[in-house]
Amino acid sequence: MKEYLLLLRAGKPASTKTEAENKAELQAWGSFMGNLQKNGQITGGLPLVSGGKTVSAAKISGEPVNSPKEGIIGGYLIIKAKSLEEAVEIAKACPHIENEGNIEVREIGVMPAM
Amino acid sequence: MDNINEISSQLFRRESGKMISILTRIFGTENLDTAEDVVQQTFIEAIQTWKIKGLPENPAGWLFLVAKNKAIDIIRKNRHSVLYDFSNDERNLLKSEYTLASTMDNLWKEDLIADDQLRMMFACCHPEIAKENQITLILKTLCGFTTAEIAKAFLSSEDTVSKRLYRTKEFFRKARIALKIPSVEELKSRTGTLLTAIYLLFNEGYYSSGNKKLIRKELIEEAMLLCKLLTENEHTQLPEVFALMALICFHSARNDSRTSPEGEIILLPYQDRSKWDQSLIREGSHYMDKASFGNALTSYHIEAAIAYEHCIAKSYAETNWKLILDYYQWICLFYPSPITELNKVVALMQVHGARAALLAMEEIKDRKKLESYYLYHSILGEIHAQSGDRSAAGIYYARGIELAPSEIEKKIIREKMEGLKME
Amino acid sequence: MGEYLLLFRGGQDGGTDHFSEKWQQHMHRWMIWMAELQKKGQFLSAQPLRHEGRQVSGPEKTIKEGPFMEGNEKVSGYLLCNADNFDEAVELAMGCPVLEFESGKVEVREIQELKV
Repeated sequence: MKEYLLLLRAGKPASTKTEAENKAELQAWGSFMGNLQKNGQITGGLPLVSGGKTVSAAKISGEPVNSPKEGIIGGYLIIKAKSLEEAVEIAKACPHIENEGNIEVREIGVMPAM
Repeated sequence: MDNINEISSQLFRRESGKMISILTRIFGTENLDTAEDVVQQTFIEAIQTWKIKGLPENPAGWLFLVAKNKAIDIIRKNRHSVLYDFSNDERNLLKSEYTLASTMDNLWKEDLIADDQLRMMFACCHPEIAKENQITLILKTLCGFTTAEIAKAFLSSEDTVSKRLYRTKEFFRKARIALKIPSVEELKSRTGTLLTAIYLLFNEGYYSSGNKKLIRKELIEEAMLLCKLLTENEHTQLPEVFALMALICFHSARNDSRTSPEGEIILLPYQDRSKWDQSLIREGSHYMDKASFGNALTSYHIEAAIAYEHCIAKSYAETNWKLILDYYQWICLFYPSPITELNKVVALMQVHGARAALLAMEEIKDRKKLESYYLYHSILGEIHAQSGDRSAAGIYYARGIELAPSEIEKKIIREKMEGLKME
Repeated sequence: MGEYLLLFRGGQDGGTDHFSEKWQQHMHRWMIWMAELQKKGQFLSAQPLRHEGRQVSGPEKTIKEGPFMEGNEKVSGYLLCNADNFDEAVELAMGCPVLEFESGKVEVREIQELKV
């Protein structure tokens, strides 16, 4: 098993949707996460508050990084999967996609031993 | 090829305890099996690689590096496993790739190993573990003995040893004993437990009979190494630690003269004193000096003082028996037991003669406890022989032969019995 | 006290020699930085990410091969920690060794508490 970080970007904010839509989305999340849990494939994951800051050597900006194409990161998941393909399959099933968001799937790396 | 096997088994004896101590700090005492597996796998890999590529320049360093990388692999595979607890300060950083390698490097640093070994020793000698299990575990984890070697050393079966190890590991699994050096308040009593274990280990090698001479010599060497570790660690530099080290040196100095080339025991009066190891006697004296700070006077101090008197005596007859008798009287006063009383009687006979010895023998409290001890009867035999009562001596010797645990001891008493007839 | 996600962006590229003295010293500073967080009970978890990845998007669930975004924006790792408030989290981020690189950036984000 390898570990993958799923970066959840963009998607419609809850405030722009009806209560029924939000409720349905929450239920979809419940069954999606429940499934991962059952398979022992989830190690972490939480949504993020919308604002943020970005620190670089030169300055601190009052904004999170926003890519014009992909949008701002709104949440993350850490999952276990056998391969990048399986991790992508899991991402495809994530309710965030239904919510018009996109997901970046990245494998947790290994630092070379010294 | 054989050479590689031999070198690696010597390395195993010397380095595996260090590696187990470090690995147990990483995986916890509850995962001692993991630590042992890593060391085992490392040595298997070493033998396979070295047979093809030859011995590396620094074999111990090679082993450490391989074991370290194996530990890294296990951590990567088990970051989120419930089997391993990586929650404490040091281990939490092992979970992140950013810090895994450098944290690992720090854990394997040469100058930390002695403390790791000491922590491991304290864990093995946890007060809730039975004495014989403590020693078994020490031999297995810190001294690199195999189950078969421990069985040979204790004249017991491999099955018994395995069961003991299993029970102790089960205790570790449940109790999750933390690897640490005890607090200042506890240090003295917990170090006392370590000393008892080392003392028993040494006695097992030094006094027990049986023909496994080589393995017994190794027990003595291991006891010496472990005790030395305590003398060198600032946490455990207590007077009694130096006293036990001195005692071990003085006894070991005489070791070569105690058996004949055929492996038979030679008693003190008949030992070739020119074979005694003078450098070990000097080393013992040096530890004795260090043992005399503070006002601690332990049984190790007195026993070391007695052993020293024997070491410096020109002959059995010229031994300072008067002083030795004084020492025994102290021991009997502070640490009374039927066995020490019996030892006192031997010195008493040298100083005051057989009649006084017989009287002292009759005054031993709990004399009943000695009834099943072969040396008690053998000494009574000697006392009666010296006072001229040959028939009584013969009866005691016969009883001694009957009770003696091994052929070698039976033979010694039989020779004394033969001596009766010649007079 | 809240939980914060630090996203490391930019920084070293794939061509770094991982056995060089310079790199080892760099990794040592990561350890010092994280050990400090651990000591203060603020460290939760952290991992670097492999360079390559994939992106899933849209109702069609189209899959795109990564890396994504411009080189400097690419996420190279993350760290989860506790901090009293946003300012403290930003303060922590300023100690991060990824900022030793000209292109290094740390995006500091607060974890959203789910209202159920």
